[in-house]
Amino acid sequence: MSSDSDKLRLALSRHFVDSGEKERLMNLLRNRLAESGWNDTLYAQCRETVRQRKLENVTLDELVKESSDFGRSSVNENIKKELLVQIKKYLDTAFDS
Amino acid sequence: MNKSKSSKSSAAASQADSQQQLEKQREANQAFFRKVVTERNKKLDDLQKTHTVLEDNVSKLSQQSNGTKNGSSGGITKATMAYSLLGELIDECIYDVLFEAHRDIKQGNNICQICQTRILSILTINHCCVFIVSRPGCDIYGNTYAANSLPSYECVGCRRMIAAVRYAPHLEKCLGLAGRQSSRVANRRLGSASPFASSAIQSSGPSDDHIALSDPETSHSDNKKKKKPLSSSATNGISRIKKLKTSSSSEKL
Repeated sequence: MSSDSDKLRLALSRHFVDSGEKERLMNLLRNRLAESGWNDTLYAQCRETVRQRKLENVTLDELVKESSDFGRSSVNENIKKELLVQIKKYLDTAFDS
Repeated sequence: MNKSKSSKSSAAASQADSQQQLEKQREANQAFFRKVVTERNKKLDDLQKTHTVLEDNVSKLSQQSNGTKNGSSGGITKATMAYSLLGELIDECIYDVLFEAHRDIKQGNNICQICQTRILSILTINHCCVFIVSRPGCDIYGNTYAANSLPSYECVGCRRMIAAVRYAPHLEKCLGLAGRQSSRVANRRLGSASPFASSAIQSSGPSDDHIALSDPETSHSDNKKKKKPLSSSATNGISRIKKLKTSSSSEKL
C-alpha cells in the first residue's frame, strides 16, 4: 500500500528525529522567530481576528484554519533561507551515509 | 467695540491654532505612510530575490533530477524533502503560538479568582493571576459535561470509533498491553509468534487485576473479530521492545 516514496519519507523523518537534528533546527528556528518578533505578531493577529469576527467559542481547529496561512507567509525570507541551507546540509550527510 | 475686536482676534488665534494642529497631523500621517511604504518595498524586494533564486534553481534541479531519479528516490527530489521538513518545523512553531492564543482567549472569559476581575480588553496580555475554577462538578475551565455526551474517537489500532471514556482500556487490549489474554490476541493479529507474549507479560506486570475483567470480554472479541492485519503505520511508534529493536535496525539509513 505505502509506496517507496512514502517509506522513504517515513524513514527520513525518523532519522531526522533520532539524530537530534530536528531538535537542533527547532531551537534555531525558535530563536530566529522570537528575535524577529514573529511570535508576537502572530499572537496579536490571532486575537485580533477572533475579536473582529466575534467568535466566542473558537476551537483550536478554527483558529488554525484562519491564522496558519498568515503565520506561514509572515516568516522572513532570510530565516527560511538560513534553515533551508542547514536542512540541505543535513540531507546531504543523511543520504551519503 | 473693544469686545468685538478682542473676540475677532481670539477667533483668529484659534483659527491659527487649529491650522497648526491640522498641519502637524498631516505630517504625522505622511511619516506613517512613508514608513509603511518602505516596509512593503523591502518585503517586495525580498520576495523578488527569492523568486529569481528559485527560478535559477528550478532549471538546475530539472537537470539534476534526471540523473538522481533513477538512483535514489523515484520522484522526490532533495529540494522537495527540504521544503517539507521546513514546513513541518514552521507548523510546529505556529501551533505553539496558537495554543497560547487559544488558551488565553478561553480563559479571558472567566473571572479571576484572586482579584475578581474579568479581562475586558485584549491589550492586557499578561494578567497577574491564574484562572482555575474549583467548583464541584466542573473542570478547571468551568465546563460541565456528561460522560455519554463526550465525543468518540478513532482507535489507532483497529480503526473503530470508541467512546472517550472507554478509549484507554480499549487501547490497552487492542495493542496487547493489558495482560496475558490481550497480548496473545494482539500477537495473533499482528502475525508474530507467541514467544513474544512472555516478554510482554514481564514488561506489563501490574495489570493482573484487569485479567479477571478482561476474560469474558476478550473471549467474546476472539470469536467475533475477524483478524484484520494492522497497518504498518499503527505499529511504528507503539511496537514492543523487541520489535522496536529489529525495525530500527532494518530501517537505519
